[in-house]
Amino acid sequence: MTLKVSLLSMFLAMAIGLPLAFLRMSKHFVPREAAVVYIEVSRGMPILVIIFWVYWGFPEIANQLLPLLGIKGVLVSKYMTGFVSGVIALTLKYAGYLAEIFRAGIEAIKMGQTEAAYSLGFSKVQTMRRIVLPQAFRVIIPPTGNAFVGALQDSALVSIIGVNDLMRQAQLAVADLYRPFEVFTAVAVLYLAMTITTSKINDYIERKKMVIE
Amino acid sequence: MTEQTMETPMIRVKDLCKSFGDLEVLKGISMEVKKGEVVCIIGASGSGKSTFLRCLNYMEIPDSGKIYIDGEPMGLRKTKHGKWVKAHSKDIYRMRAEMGMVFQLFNLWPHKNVLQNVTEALLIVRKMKKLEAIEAAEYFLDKVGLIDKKGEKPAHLSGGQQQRVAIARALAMRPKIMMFDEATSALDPQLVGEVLEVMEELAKEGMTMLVVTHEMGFARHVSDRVIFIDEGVIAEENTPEGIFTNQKNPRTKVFLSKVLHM
Amino acid sequence: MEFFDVKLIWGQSGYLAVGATYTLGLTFLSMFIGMAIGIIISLGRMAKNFLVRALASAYVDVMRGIPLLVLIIWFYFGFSMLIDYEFSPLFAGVACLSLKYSGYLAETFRAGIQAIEIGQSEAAFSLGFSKIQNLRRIVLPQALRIVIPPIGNSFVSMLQDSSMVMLVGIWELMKRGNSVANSTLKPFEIYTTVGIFYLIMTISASRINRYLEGRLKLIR
Ligand SMILES: Nc1ncnc2c1ncn2[C@@H]1O[C@H](COP(=O)(O)OP(=O)(O)OP(=O)(O)O)[C@@H](O)[C@H]1O
Ligand SMILES: [Mg+2]
Repeated sequence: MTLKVSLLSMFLAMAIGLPLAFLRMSKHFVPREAAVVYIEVSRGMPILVIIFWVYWGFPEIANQLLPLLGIKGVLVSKYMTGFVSGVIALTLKYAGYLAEIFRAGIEAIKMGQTEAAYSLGFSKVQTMRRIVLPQAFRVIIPPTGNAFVGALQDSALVSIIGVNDLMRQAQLAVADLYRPFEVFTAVAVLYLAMTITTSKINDYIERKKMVIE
Repeated sequence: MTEQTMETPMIRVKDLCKSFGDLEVLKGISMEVKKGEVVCIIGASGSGKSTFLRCLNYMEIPDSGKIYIDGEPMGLRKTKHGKWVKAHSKDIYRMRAEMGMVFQLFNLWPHKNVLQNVTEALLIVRKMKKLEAIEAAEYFLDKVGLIDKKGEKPAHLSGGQQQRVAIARALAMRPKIMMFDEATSALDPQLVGEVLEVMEELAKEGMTMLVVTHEMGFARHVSDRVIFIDEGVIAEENTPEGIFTNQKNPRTKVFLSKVLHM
Repeated sequence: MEFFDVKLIWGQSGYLAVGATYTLGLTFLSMFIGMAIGIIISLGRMAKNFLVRALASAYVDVMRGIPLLVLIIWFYFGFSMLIDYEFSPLFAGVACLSLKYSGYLAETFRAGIQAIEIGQSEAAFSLGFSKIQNLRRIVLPQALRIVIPPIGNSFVSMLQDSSMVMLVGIWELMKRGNSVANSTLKPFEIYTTVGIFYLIMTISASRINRYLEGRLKLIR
């Protein structure tokens, strides 16, 4: 469950983060500033607040909003399960991080190289696809790996809203066995196994990449 | 008993050995430098010249051998039972402070200006009063011709100027010995002269100097003696005249013909 | 029932603001302790002794890899049970935040110290500086400039993560928000307000950090 929550959120956050990064680099004021605000807010807001805000707050506001729109009899809280809320909250949070990572990656390449491509007659999209993104990808991988480690850790918080993740199961086990030290130590070790493995894979890819360059 | 009549040498090294892992860099070096003598050390890159200098002030810890600076053992002390053990750190620090060292890459401290670079050790190591330290620093900056740069940060100076500040920094400690490790190798050719001039001046004033250098002109005209290190041993020790015109060791000749015809 | 109850928010904001000051205090204190531990660990990471290096490096891996929530629960509910001693909530909260961040900070310090060229220390040693004098006068003053921006970033993250200490029952911003949300049954309004309080703190901290970063660049 822990892995499922973080993987799904990470995937959705990437899907949102990439367009957000382009909005952030837009020439037009409104989309650019909107993206800036989103990024600043999502990055500055504690994940716990976002989780509670989504899990408790969304049903409340929906229950007020939907009748105003003439929709009645829908019980939003039924859909806002802990799992769904957890995924939404992590996605909202990490989309902001990833947008900044993507932007840094793209901006690291840009300039001289794109100009060279344009001078050879590449179109904007061609330049982006053939020149910029493949290189940006390499710049992006290590911080994305770090973000994933962060998401793995933050996913522990969804246990608070009742998702049956590792942490939640531990709490149930403690209630059962009354061996908190042993159980929580085991949980810590399991998380460490996941995060450290991810970090090491990440380091490995990074080193590989340096060799290529 | 030791001969009281003979002056104690400023540096005396006996059977100095040093390895890095499997790599034997120094394989038993013995030599002396008398007070006021200027000795040049030459040798191929990687032959262990820097390692030798760094062993003398214990920045590198030798594997075996003895070093005496003005008669005092460096890095080791004798216990009551006559056994040699590692010296106290504070004695090593004290003796280092009496041995100036000038590096190839100057190693000035970028967060301090020129004057502060020179006063720092006076204040911290010598515990001088601030005014006294500034006075001493200004004296030596003047000596190397950089008193008007005292407020600058090192990054704003040329390489030659930086190296002269580094020399002033070492001199301000009033060391017994000055050691130079390829002090001019990192400099643009037109800046080498100003640094060599300062070094020559020092030699004339009677400073005891140990100079690792690739500047054969300096070795020939300023030094009293030249030591050629090859494969971790002293392959030849000779007068400048001797080493350049009448080598005892054929390897010296090979080395010199390489560097002189570069 | 009023849509988006502004009056309620207004009424509760004083109570929440007090929580925000606790959050700030908690973060400053934990940051300070975390930095002290971090410096020691970073020196261990660079030690000559293999065992010391391995231990320090394992410490860093563990602290960085363990979720803060797990650390808090392990410490407050598990560890305290093992040694049969009940920690005060404040102690547990500050200890966990400091421990968790000391891992990140150790790596920050290590990077800062290693960025100072070795030659500068050699010059200091050749003049008779002791190891501590070299660290204090030559290495740390420069390393500090390098590490201030990442320390600022850690501070911003810690401000956010300090919300998790509500679990041990410290009445900081999050705990207060949680309790008000439960009692008023207006979670959307309350958590929005709590979020804004956090944003004010984190965004100000980021701005100050960016300003310092700019200033430090000028000095160099
Ligand atoms: N700290 C160290 N660890 C491992 N090997 C070292 C270390 N310092 C020096 N060496 C090796 O010892 C050998 C001698 O080095 P040293 O710097 O003394 O040579 P050098 O004569 O000063 O050369 P150069 O003229 O290039 O300065 C070299 O092969 C070098 O790679
Ligand atoms: Mg050398």
